[in-house]
Amino acid sequence: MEQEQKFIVSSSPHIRDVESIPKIMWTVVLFLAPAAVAGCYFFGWDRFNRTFSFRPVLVVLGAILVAVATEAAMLHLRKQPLRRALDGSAVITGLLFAMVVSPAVPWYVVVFGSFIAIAVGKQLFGGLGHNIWNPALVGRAFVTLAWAEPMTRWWVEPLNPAYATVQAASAATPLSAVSLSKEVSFSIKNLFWGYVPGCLGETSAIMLLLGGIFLIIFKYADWRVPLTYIASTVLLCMAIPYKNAPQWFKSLPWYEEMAFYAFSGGLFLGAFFMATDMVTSPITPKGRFIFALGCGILTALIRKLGGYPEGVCYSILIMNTCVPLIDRFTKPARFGLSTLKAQRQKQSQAKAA
Amino acid sequence: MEKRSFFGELVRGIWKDNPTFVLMIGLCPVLAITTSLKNGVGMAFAATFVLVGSNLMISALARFIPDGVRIPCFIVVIAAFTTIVELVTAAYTPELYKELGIFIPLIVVNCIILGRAEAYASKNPIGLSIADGIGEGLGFLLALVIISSIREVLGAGSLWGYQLVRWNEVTAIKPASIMVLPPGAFLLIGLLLGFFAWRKKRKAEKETAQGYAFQEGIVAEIESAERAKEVAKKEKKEEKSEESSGESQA
Repeated sequence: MEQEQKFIVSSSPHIRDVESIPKIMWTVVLFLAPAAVAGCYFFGWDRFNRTFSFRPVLVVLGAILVAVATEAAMLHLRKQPLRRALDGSAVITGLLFAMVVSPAVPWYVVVFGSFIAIAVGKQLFGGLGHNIWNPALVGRAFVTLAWAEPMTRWWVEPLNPAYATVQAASAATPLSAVSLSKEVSFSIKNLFWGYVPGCLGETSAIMLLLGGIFLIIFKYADWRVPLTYIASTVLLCMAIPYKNAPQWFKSLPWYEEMAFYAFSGGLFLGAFFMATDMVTSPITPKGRFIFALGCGILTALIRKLGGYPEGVCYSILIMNTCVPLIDRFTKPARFGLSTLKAQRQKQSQAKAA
Repeated sequence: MEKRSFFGELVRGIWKDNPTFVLMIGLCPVLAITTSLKNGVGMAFAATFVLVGSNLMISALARFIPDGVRIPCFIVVIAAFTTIVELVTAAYTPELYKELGIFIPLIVVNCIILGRAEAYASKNPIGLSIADGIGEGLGFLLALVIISSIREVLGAGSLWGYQLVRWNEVTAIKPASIMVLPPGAFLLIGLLLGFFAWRKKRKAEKETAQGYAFQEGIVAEIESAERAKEVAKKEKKEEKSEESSGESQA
């Protein structure tokens, strides 16, 4: 019973593109790499002793390795094809997680954080495309609550990392110095290049900006999100004063203060690489705008009025939670619906008349 | 209706109708006080005492309580037993009383106790109601012991207050304090509920598979029986024809 086939019947999508998950993911890894490499240099190279510590490199590689291994193990448990562990998404999560922890954290923070990020944050929800929250930030939120001291106090000086004494005397990040009114000043130039204490991959604004611009050029991220996020955070930060800012910060002119808010903390990393995550951000342009605005407002509120000096992690997580709601309220009208409505209104008016 | 035995009701409460993992009622104290095994066990015994007492009283009084005001009446009975527990813990175990704090008076509004009073004790005889109370209490104890021991080991590195490992070496893993904080409780209970749901699903799948196998078996039996009948008929026919042919020959 063979029939000649005249129509090819298939379900949508009918238009195919050369884009694939591995291609997108590995490109994003490439754009993230400069900031990670810069972090490894700042927190590895000791300019006084002229030695290089491999600790930040180990943190990055360890986080990626644990992330990929966890992904493979969970895929095996869920009876999914194992090759998906190497599609790059687990590598991004591991890399992002390493970039949002201090390079001085103990090994177990890296291992458990990366494990929780993939196992709980991603695979328990159904794997790539089904997770509600950004997995790397889930891992960071977990370890921040689990091991608060290394996560919030153990910072090292760039180009002079003293990992042996980090428990006794640790440096202050720009934001923690300002919010705890410490007289440690930071120049905007250093903030821009990344010569400041902080998380491994968040300090170098220029590298993150470069990666972010490429991300937007390649259309892997929507320009609305980082722009709205950074602008709203900076503006709201300018509006709310610090309770007791140190003297050097008070003497900054307004444009330098704005630059300080933009370049310090994890704002660039969060705005370019985390708030633009395809899985955990809204679909519609209007929704993305609302999402980024919410992130910006929450970040500024946590920075100025909350208990933590930086709020990028929690604000993105909170807004991730709101994404289904935002998507529902910004659903565009179906094609032709507005004309139909107008026609009906006209008809009913004519009838009434 | 199936016949109910004292022992059967008791066991049902522990596993099949476990208040925390299966019925998912009374989760508030489970989340709040399971920071250490001691607290968990103390809470479970307090709740069990109130549960057994209220089940006994309500089952005995059920006939005299008008339907319209039964909930307030149940609450009065439960509150009486809760007050007993509160005063006794305050007098004899002041430390536990301090740790559990508001959650002892809150036993009054615990869903497990009111739920069992409404759903079971008010409709069943006294003996079975006591069994149900003990069973649900033991189920609650089991859940609290599981959750609180995991949380205490992971979150504080100790069990029943005894330090399991010395944590002050630099290389050793420090306990993850998230586990004794509220987010850890939500995370752990979520994972445990997911585990039990997965087990239940797998069991149901197995049972349906067995059911199919059973049906197939029956079908096969019927088919073979029919085949046997047909064979027998044919044989009979052949015999008959042989007989008839024999007769004709004769």
